[in-house]
Amino acid sequence: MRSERQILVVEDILDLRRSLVEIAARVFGVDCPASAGSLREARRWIAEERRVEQPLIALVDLGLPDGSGDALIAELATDGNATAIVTTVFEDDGNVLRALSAGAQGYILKSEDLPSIEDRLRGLERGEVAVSPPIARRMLRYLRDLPQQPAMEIVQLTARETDVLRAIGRGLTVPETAGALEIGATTVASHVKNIYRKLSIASRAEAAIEATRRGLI
Amino acid sequence: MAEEADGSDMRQANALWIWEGRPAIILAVGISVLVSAALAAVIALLFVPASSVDVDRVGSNAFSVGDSGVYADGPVAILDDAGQARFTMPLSQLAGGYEPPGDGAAIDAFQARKDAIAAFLRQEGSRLRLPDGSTVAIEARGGGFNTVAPDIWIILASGLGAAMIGTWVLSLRPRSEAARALAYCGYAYFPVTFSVALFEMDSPAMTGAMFWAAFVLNTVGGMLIALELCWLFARYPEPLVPRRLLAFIYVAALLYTGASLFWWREDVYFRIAAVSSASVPLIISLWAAQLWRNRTDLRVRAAFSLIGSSLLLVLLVVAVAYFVPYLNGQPPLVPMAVYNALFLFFFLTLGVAVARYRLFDLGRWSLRIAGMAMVLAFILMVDAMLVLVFGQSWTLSIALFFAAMLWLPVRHWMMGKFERRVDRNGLDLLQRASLVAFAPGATEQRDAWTDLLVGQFAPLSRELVPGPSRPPDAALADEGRTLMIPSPLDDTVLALSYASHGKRLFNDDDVAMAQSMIRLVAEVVEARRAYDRGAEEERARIARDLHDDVGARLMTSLHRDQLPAIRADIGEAMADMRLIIDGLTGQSRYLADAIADLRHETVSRLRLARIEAEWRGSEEIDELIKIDQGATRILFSVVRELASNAIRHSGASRVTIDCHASADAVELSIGDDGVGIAGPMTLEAGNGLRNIRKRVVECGGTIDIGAPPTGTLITFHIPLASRERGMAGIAPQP
Repeated sequence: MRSERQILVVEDILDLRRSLVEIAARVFGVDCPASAGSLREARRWIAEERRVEQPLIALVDLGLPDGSGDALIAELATDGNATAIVTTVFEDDGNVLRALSAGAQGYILKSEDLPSIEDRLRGLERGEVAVSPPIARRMLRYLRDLPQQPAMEIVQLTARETDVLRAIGRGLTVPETAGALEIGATTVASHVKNIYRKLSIASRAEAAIEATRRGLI
Repeated sequence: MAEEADGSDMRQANALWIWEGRPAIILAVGISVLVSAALAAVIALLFVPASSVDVDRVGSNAFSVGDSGVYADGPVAILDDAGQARFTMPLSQLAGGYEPPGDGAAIDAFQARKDAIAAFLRQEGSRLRLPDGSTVAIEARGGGFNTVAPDIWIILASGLGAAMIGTWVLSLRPRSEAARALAYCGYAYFPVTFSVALFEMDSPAMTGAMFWAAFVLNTVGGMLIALELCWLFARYPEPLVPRRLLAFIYVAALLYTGASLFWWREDVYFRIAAVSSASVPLIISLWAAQLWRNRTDLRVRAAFSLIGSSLLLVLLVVAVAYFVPYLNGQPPLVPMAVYNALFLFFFLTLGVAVARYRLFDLGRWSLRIAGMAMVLAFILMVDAMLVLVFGQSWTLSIALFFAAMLWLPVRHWMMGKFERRVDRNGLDLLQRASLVAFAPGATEQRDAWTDLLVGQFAPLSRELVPGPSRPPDAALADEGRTLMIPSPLDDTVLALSYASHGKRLFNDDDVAMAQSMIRLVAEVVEARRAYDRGAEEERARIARDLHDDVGARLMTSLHRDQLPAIRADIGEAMADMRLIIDGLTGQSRYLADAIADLRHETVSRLRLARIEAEWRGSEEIDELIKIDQGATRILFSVVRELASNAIRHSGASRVTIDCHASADAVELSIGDDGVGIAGPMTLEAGNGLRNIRKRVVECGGTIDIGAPPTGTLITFHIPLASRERGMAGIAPQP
């Protein structure tokens, strides 16, 4: 069944793209993942090769020659059957949070060596999440400071989600967080995925509210 | 000028009787002599006998007689106790004023009659018969404080004041001809005021000798004043008339006066008044000639317009308020004391001009004084006119009203016109100071500073004075012609000459303005230098970090063969670079966040290396404590290095980290269960440890590398820089 998945690697550095393609092929059990060096190539692939009935995993770089990967991630969020994962150099800058807001469901760090990258991807495949303390703190701050509007109720963090973000923000790893909160590691991971989802909804809702306020819609 | 010209030959003469260059002594001696003279004059005035009935002129033909009322002129008589008329005279003769009549014989008779009246009034029971036939008791009183009116003291005080001003100026410039002329003028004025006081006290009880003495003092003193003023303007500031000629005129005039008084004794008053009057236009001509000769010299112009305006004030007031009513047979418009006070004022301006003390500041006073003189003259003229037309006494208020109506707008216009200057507001000044401070190079800065000053003061010329004798503050030089402004940028001094394109002298306001400009620019320059220093330190720090961390790691990896090790090096170099980039934002961050990130990074790394990691003790960190970038960097690089050692060299399966952080310090220990450092240690691990130790010690911390029975335990302590000390607290020492 795995072979039914489609894989797309979007990365402009050729060597890294090849390595990522190799790793992705191994981790996701796909013979020949697709690859693209720019937004234009990626969009052409989506237009020509994408089969919506098959799940898609896309590894998307942010700094592409013809624009930011954020745009592609936002487009993939409308696909319904696609999972976007950001590849980035530094995990503690605003890029990751923007990509997560745009709909990415995880990130891997290009600054790590290839075995580590492979480990991370396998972790994602197993349902683990990677979330660093700075990103946890940013997400917590962002979601807590959203305008108190009825439209935003759906993205209010639950008490448990808040606890998870707090613990990670203090530097605890996922297993440590699970231990501290006396829940399973998979529960922590599902909380984090929920938080990602809320983040993406919140940012879209906020954009809509902002557009309405400015009279664009 | 005059001072230099007469300096050499006057020195000899002065040295004979003046303690050269010791103003305090001259001043002390002069003042004590003057005070003694004043005391003597006061005592003399207190013993002058007065009569119990005071007669004063109050109108063209009206005289007040004590408390008895006002009478028109007419014959009065002094009666003895039997009611017999012993002396008869017109009432006007009792109202004061002393004009020795006719020739010598007449004067002698006049004196004898005065003596006889005075002697008669000393007897008891004398009465004065007034023109209407009524009588009033009259007798001589023995003098004392009750008989001396306040005006008298004012008159005497103005004489003493003038003499003191003269002494003061002389003490400041003992070698100056002008100062001597001024001082002698003051000394001559003092006896004149004494004589004026006597005339003011004038009573039938005074003897003929007293009148004569007062008259002699008055005429000789007046002549001396006129001569000294002529001498002053003839020689100061330019010697216009040869000294020999002046001396000749001086002696001749004095001989003439003496002869008039004691030899010819005929029409004395008019003989001397003719000469004294002639001196007034002479003085004014000399003054005008000096002004013309020195018209290009701003300092002299300022001094002479001041003198001229005060002279104008005195002359106008005397003419309008004294002579005009006198010719009309009216009493003076203002009391005698006012003229004397005015003369004192003129004397003061003269003294100031001669002493050249802060003359530049007084320049603009001349306009105000001239304005005041004209207003006063206007008031008096209007008043005199109204008195003549209406014969009323309430007219002064109307005159004042008209004058005020005219004066206020004129004054406003004049002040606006003559005191206009470039006044920059604070913001503009700050902007220009910033232009100076932030000019790219030293030359541009100096040019901008010069431009700023030139824009402010518009001098005719400017000169850069280099040199070590740099004054700390802006100062006036050369009597206000030049303003010396020390540069806030370097050791030079800019000498600006002739303010406002040569239209005026520099004054104290300019000094204050220059001073605030210097301070402002110095402060902005200092701020810029501090900023530059900070930026330089920061650049040096970045360079050092790039070299020590990233450079060293890449260098190491250059000599490695194993690809995974090279990759690890590059990863670490990137992490170091990340820290440096974070440091570029230069902002401090929360300690709790920094520890959280460090914990996450370290534990993740160790786990990826299949080492079990436990981090303890960082949960309870005060959320509000901040840590600056320097301390953050040391903390991260030390922990990273120790974690790398544990991963690469120790062979440990478990690492335990204990972390205690407070506002003052971070204390952290890393223990592992590996091979320990007691055994053979690789060169690389040794280098790493040395590097760590160096860093920790440099920031004032301590590090303890222990060797427990198994594994390694390294404990270090990093002080956190206080907010006040900032970066400097952990900056590397050279």
